[in-house]
Amino acid sequence: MSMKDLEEMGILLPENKWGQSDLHTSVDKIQLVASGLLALGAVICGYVGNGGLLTWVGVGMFFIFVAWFTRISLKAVEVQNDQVEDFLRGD
Amino acid sequence: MTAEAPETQQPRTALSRDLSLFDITMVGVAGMIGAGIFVLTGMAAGTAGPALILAFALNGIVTIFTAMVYAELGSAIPEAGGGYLWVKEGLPGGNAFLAGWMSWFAHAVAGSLYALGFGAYLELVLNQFGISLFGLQGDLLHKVLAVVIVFTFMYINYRGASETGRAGNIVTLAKIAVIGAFIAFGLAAIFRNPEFLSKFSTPSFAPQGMAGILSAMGLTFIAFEGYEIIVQAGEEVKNPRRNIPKAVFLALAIVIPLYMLVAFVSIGAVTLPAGSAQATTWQWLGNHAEVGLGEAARNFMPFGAIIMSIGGLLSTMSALNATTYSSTRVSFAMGRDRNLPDMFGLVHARTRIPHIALLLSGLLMITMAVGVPIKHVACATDIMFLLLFLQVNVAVITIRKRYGDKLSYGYLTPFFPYVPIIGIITKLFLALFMFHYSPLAWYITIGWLLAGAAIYWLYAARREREKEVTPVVIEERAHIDRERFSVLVPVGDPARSANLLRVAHSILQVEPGNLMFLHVITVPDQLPVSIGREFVNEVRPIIDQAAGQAEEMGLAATRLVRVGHRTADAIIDTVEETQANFVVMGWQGDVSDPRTVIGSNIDRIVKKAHANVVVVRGDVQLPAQRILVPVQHPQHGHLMSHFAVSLVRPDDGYIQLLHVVDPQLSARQRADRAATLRDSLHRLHAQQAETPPEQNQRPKRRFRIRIAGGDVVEEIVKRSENFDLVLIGASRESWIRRTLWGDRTRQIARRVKCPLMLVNLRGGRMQFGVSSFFQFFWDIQEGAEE
Repeated sequence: MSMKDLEEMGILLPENKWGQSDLHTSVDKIQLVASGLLALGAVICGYVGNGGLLTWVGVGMFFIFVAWFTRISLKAVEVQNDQVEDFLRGD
Repeated sequence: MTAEAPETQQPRTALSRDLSLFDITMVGVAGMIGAGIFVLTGMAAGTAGPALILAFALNGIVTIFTAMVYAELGSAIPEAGGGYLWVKEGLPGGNAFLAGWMSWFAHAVAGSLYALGFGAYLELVLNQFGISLFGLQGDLLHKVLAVVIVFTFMYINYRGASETGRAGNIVTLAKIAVIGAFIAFGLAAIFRNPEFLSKFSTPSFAPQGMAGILSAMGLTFIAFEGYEIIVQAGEEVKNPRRNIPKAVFLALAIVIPLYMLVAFVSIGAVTLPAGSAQATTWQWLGNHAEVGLGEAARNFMPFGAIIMSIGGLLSTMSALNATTYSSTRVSFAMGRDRNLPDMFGLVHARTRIPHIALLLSGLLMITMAVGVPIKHVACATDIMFLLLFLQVNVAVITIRKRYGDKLSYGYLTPFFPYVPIIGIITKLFLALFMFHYSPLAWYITIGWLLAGAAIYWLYAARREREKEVTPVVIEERAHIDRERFSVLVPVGDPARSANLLRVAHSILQVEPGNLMFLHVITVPDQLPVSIGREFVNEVRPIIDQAAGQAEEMGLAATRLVRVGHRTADAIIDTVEETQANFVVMGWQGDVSDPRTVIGSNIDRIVKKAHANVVVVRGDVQLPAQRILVPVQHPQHGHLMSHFAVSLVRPDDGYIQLLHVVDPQLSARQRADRAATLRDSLHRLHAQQAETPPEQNQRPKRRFRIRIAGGDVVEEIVKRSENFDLVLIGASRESWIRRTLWGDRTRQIARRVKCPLMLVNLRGGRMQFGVSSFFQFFWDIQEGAEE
């Protein structure tokens, strides 16, 4: 695939917009790191707990991580798309 | 001339995007909650012990790194091909070939795994009923059944059927329901037994340590690769920039907790049968291997074995169907790209299925299913997917660098490029670790990669270079004025387009506006819609001929070519995009499907398209002298009437509004009906009073109202003999499918000999005909009541 292929697919931005888009992620990095630490903690608790109470605390923490991560990601998608739409409207 | 000339005489082409966020999320969930969890849970429990829960959680984390990459690329490059396409774009030389080569093998071998899983679950069902197949049992029976089911799905795919859309969603929801029931009964069983926690610590939570957990992770990794299927269908997703990344995350949010709960109840809820050779539940599950989940359900769930077996059969069949589809699609794409011999890229003339790619993919599945034990088949699949994802993680870095500022991303991976780098490391580590669990799987993988490398250097590289000097250029664009009244005419058969054009012309004479011709190139579900672009030049004469006929009538038409899996959806999409007011379609008149009124395509368009729909049967000569308009509800007679005005001959033509009533109705009641119908027509008078006089330039026409007693169908058929055209339809209030276009419509359409139009008028944006109608209402002449 080449630039031409992408162009034919209608995927590329209009040429006058090249180089102007913002490539910074819209993911909330602080929350992402916090959720990542929660996941790490969950896995460690799960293993160290050896099937005892701590393991189930870890499992619970992991469920919270999944929900949190999903929320962060979905919100990032919304924000990113709003930004792109604003960017595309600005011509 | 009633329509402006378009900016260009080239047809505009567009692809139909059919899948909503829910649909595409279900595609991903279906790809994950498939055979992987049903077939591999038992084996993985035997490897990791109770720490299988942790193995699923860790797999979830490993998966999330690559899922973010897939969300980014899927939102920016939403084209069929997914990982293969991106590696082709982002990495040099033979990487793309190897990605496709591995992807083909991974999908095909996953099919082998599902086919073997199907065999195992079917044996479980047969055993429930005490049925024996020729005395076969165990592995041999599984392999025989695997071969049979692979051939079955090859045939199904060859015929063009596949699990898509609503049917696919139902199967997916059924699988979730089965898993949900398994979890619910398992939790109930666990909490009835306060000693259940001991099952998770005997002899320990991770009896084989991290090695066991990592082996289980590798073994079950295939159950997490559904986001690859989401992006494979990328070009069919509505608003892909938003929906693809959301679907990736939502699908994972659904399946990761479900897997962990499945592991929890599988180990915690099972009570070891008396005299069991195994000391622990996880060993017992491991002993039952691919049917471990079914045996667990039998242990604690009423009708558990049957319910889980049905779930297992559903899952393995739908997963096998999906992998047959995807392995065929990948090898077909490689054939089309000249990476594999041209025969892979051949499409069957009638079914438009890549039959050679399908046949060879099926044979690959059968070879692996018959020749390799199921555990090693699963491992080989996992290794291939891990290596493919590894390449995608590299490709995302180069694509961002090369094209990042030229693409519009719906999601951007955070901490770039560290996230894909972590993805690379984790995938590589897990893949290498699989050697510890299944050296045979790695030997198969290495053999396949070496074969691929040889094919690339000896064959594909040269062919790729040849392809680069064979450019294909089609430039298509068109202008559509969405503010103007517009009539859309889908054309398939050039011989019928003149007939439809006459109707469109009549409408546009009353209400000047745009005329658009649309031709839909349909592509089987098994193929990406982009393949339809290859047929644009073939269909161009059809649409050019229609446009030529329009020019002869003084109309300039916009020409559109749309590619989609379903004609109806493509037409509906076009109506939405162009905001067409009218759709004029042809109809051959016979309905073979008893579930539909006038055919599935037209039914769907009538139901979904936000436009007035006119369906024409027979050779209509317009303007017509005598038009019969049966009216079911007198109060709605005006809607059909003012459409009929556009079709009637100006000087000596007339329109008869026929209202068929119960023969027992009294003369007074009939007179009331006639009065209602007349009042309905008078309502237009009030509307007309606000219409500027210059718009009321139509010559007079005569209306006749006739109230007839008897059977609706018989009366219409009998009276139609004296007319040049019959219009049947319904107002917005009386829905077409429930009323006139029900069985009566079918009977009328079959028996009426003269040309017929089925009309669904929605009103709303339709300003059509009102201005021209008013002048004639005072000409209403009531027929004699019978």
